[in-house]
Order: sequence, then structure tokens, then C-alpha cells
Amino acid sequence: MICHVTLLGGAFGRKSKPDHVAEAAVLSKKVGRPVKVVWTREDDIKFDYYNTVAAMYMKASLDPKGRPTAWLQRSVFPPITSIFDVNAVYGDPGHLQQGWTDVPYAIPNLRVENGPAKAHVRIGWLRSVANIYHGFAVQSFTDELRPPRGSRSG
Amino acid sequence: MIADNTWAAFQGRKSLNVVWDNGPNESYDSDQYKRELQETARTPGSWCGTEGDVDSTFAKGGKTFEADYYVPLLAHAPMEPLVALAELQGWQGHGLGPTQNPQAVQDIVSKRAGHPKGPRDLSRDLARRRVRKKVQA
Repeated sequence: MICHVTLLGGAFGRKSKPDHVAEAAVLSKKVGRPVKVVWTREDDIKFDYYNTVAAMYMKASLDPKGRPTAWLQRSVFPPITSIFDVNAVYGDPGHLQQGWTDVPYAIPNLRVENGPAKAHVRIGWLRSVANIYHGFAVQSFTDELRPPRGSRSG
Repeated sequence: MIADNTWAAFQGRKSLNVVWDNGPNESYDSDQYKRELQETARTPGSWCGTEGDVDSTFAKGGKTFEADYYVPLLAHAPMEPLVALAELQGWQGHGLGPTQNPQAVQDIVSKRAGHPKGPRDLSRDLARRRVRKKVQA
């Protein structure tokens, strides 16, 4: 079979899955006629390969000037690798690197952790992938640690 | 549901009485799952990077802050839902659609046809035309 690729139109990461085109091919083979497959919007939302759900715990201590002296961050999310191995519960290095082990701050005492989570839905890529939840946690926490305007001493 | 037009497909689907097997994730409850993730996030995990000594610095006291963050599942929700065309006679023919992974389409079809490692008759027409244009330019 020859597979022709059209313009993708968006949903990058979702389109890295071949299911919709394979579905058309298998159906066409079965009915012996050309087939056009169109998913309903409801099916598209309910049966996506979702960008993963994630919980992040952050802890930091500050010196008198408000600068972090120690920083602990722990993220928990069902990994993308769960679509290849149902028993995968820890993030793979590639996705842990996205916004997590690559903390852009010079903090003398820093620890980055990852906890286990079993997947119950299909997890997939969505543009920027793990940066979405990791960036949200790191940057939100940074904002919240910042002293109120006018109260900075150094 | 296969029909001559979308309306007929919708009507045909309404007439089905489907009993779904919800599989091993039938009892999945996203609220309960959220609580489980947050509890795990409050439990020591696997280290993936460390510098200095975090524990002894925290133990010294001073101002410490904690926070929890949560991001739900995100659907891609493209304006155009998934679409594809195919015309096969036997297992030979053409498939067409917006996919980043045409090789995987061929792998699935080859496997269905009983050729797990079938030949990769790959045609990425658009990319080829563009490359050719660039080469000519």
C-alpha cells in the first residue's frame, strides 16, 4: 500500500499516530470500495492520545534576601511510554528533561524527583509535551516565591 | 458505520445497540486519580537530578514554602477531526491522510495482510515535490 501524506493541519503529536489512515485502509479492504473516514468531534475528544495529566510538588527555602537556598521538585505523571508498555510508571529521561531536570536556575541545593503513576487512558505527544506541565509548575512556583512588590531587600 | 453520506452514517449509528466492554480501566475515576497523583507527589520519589544537599538545608529551618500544581489531561482538539481516505483492492492500493507517521500506517496494513515486515512502498508526494522544487530552484 502506498501512503500519501497531506498537509497535517495541526494537532502535531496526535498526527504522529497512524490509526485514522490505517482505519480507512482496513475498511476499504473489507468493503472493496473507496472509503472516507471522518471521526466525529466527540470521538476525537474522547479517544485522543492525551497530553498527560500531572501533579507536581514544589518546596523551597529562601535566604533573608529571598533567594532560594534549597529547592525540591517532584512530578508524577503516567508516562508516554505506557502506550508501548502498560507497566511503565516512571517518566523516561527524554520527557523528564523537558522543563524538569533542566531547571534554569543556579540554586546551590537542588533535587529533582519523579514518582510513579499508572496510565488509564492513552497518553501521547502534544506540542512541547512535558514542558507543558513542568514549565507551569516551575514558573508558577517561581512567581509565588517572589517577594511582594516594594518589599525586596536585595 | 459505513454509509454513502454522513447523515446516513449518523442515522445508522443511532440504530445500533452496542454493548461495550470497557476493559481494565472501567473503574477509572479522574477525581480519584487526581488525588492519588497528588498523594504520590507528596511522597519521596525516584531521584533524577541532584546538586548540593537539599535535606540538610531544609533541616536548618528558615523560610520554606511548599506548593502543589496539577495539570489535567489535554486533548489536541483540532478544528478538523481525524480524517483519511483509502482505496484498496485486496491489500494493495492507496491511503491518504494527515499523518506524521506514514511508515506506521504501512506497518499496520502489512501486518493485517499477513506480512509483518512488508515492503515499505512509501510515497510522501508533497514532501518530494517540495524537495524537487527546491533542488530546481
